[in-house]
Amino acid sequence: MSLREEVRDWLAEHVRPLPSVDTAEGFAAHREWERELAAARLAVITWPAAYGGRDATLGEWLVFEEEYWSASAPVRVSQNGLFLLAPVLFSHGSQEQRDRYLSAMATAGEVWAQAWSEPDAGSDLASLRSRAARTEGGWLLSGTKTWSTRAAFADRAFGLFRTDPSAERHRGLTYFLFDLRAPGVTVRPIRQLGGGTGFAELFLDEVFVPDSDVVGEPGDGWRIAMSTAGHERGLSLRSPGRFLAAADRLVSLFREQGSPAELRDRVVDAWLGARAYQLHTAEIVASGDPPGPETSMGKVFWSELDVALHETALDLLGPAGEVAGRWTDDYLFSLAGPIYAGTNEIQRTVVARRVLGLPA
Amino acid sequence: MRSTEHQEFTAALHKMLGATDDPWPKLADMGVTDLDSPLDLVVACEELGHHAVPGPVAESLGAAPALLGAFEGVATLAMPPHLPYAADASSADLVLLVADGVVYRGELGARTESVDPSRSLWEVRPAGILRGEVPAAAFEMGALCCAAYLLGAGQALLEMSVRHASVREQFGRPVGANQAVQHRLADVAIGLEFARPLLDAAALGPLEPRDVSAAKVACADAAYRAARSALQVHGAIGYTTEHEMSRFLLKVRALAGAWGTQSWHRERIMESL
Repeated sequence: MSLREEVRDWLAEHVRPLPSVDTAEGFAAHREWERELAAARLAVITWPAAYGGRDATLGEWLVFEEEYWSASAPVRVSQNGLFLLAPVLFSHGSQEQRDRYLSAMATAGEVWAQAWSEPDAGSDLASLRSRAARTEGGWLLSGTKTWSTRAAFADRAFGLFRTDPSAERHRGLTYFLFDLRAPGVTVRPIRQLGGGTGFAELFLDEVFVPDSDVVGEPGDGWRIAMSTAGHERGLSLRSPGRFLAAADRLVSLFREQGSPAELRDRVVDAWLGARAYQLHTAEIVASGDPPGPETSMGKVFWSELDVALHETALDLLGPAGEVAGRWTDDYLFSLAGPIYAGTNEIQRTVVARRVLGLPA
Repeated sequence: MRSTEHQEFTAALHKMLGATDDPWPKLADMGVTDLDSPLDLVVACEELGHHAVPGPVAESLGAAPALLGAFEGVATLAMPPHLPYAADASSADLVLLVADGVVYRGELGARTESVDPSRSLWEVRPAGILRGEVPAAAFEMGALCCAAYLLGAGQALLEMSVRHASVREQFGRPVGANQAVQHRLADVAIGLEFARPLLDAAALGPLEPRDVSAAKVACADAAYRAARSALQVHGAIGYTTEHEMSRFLLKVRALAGAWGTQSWHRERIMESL
């Protein structure tokens, strides 16, 4: 049986609607879903077998994702860990860190939140001020992190802290892993546009972190974090399967609504965009090149495609477009795309200067 | 995915086209008129668009061989309703009219001007049947070659814009240092970047009408966006025939509606979904 058939059959048998991941009950249900995926060895197919994977290729992962989204399977509660932290642990982490964290991440025994932004450091992340002070056997973290996805219910977090207060901007930053339930951590869930608490603010007051939870060398955090930023903007966070599935649903909705001629071009363009993103991604995977500044082009493309696709769906629904449901949920989710992982304005500047070579 | 051979072929074409004012005889010398794999043709037509080579490119390289097999010289054709006129027919060796489900030899009628002054449009009358059927591949190959040409022209317009914005100074700095200009050109680059996979995918497999339409819609939109942005970035000099940019701009405008309008291709995609 091919991987595609195996995934499709397994999902057909197991996918069920779950309560919102932004409630305690829903979070627990999504954890249980991840545990089932892991038991079928479908949670992290590109990882080595030792951590629950199948050593699958990125091309196979794209197939998995197409089936996953096509089946309307649940949101991956472990997404931050799987797609942002795990690549860092594989490339920069210690063997001890990989052994301690990866298997638990794959089964959602531990769910990770990201801790990048601060109240005064968003797109300009290098201006961050949260600090880590040396102490016996480790570090004491203090400061405020915000827009921390999944932090309302997650177990642990990863992020950057300033270990050298005399160093400017990118220098003197260190990549830390920390326990969200450690003494000194306060989590304040933040209500998002859609009403759920998809992210939270984190207040840290001398939170102890042992040396063994520093990733890479102290002071090398910026370089390490940028290697995950590439992942977040590029392939990992937004697989083509998501847009292909949404475009197919949009075409069905267009027909159900009587194929209104005035909206035809927008529906076709959404379908074309999803197809272009799929083909473009397949080319990148086949080339084997590491992510470069070109990932900024992809980030702008998929995030604007996502908004346009869902706006078209709401317009197709007409006066019923305001009725809360799947399309409005997905629309609200799409609105965040042009902001997170580096706003699209930052991305366009990266494209202009680093891809096109325009002057600064 | 394009091979190293394709990249070398593009480089060789680029060099030849940059060094001549009369490219058509040299295209035959380089074997461009004998290409029959859609991907090879797409690679060639994209580079011809990159240089805005005048003449009936999609007609002669893409459609005519699919209609008649190999022939000598340059061919053009009318194919109503998509191509009501035969482009550049007075200088072509072979003029065809595709209508009534057959291929006629075409006889030249009145000349009409195009918005693109490097292009002439001719009415054509039937003058004897050359083939009693019309292979569907002819239209698809023409549309695919036209899409490739547009993508190449769009890429050239972006390159010109970047060059101009990097050297033209106002307020004591290059105009391309302004974010309003940078972001506009970034959007042009993104449009071209995500049109190319659709073009290559259409050329790689058996020619599927839906894939050809996808390529034409994406390439024409991306090229037109590149053209409008190029004019804006160049400012007044771009609105003159003294700058080569205007030649590309008008070529893109003329070809955007050739080989099936954007609306017709979008409808064809929707019908196939």
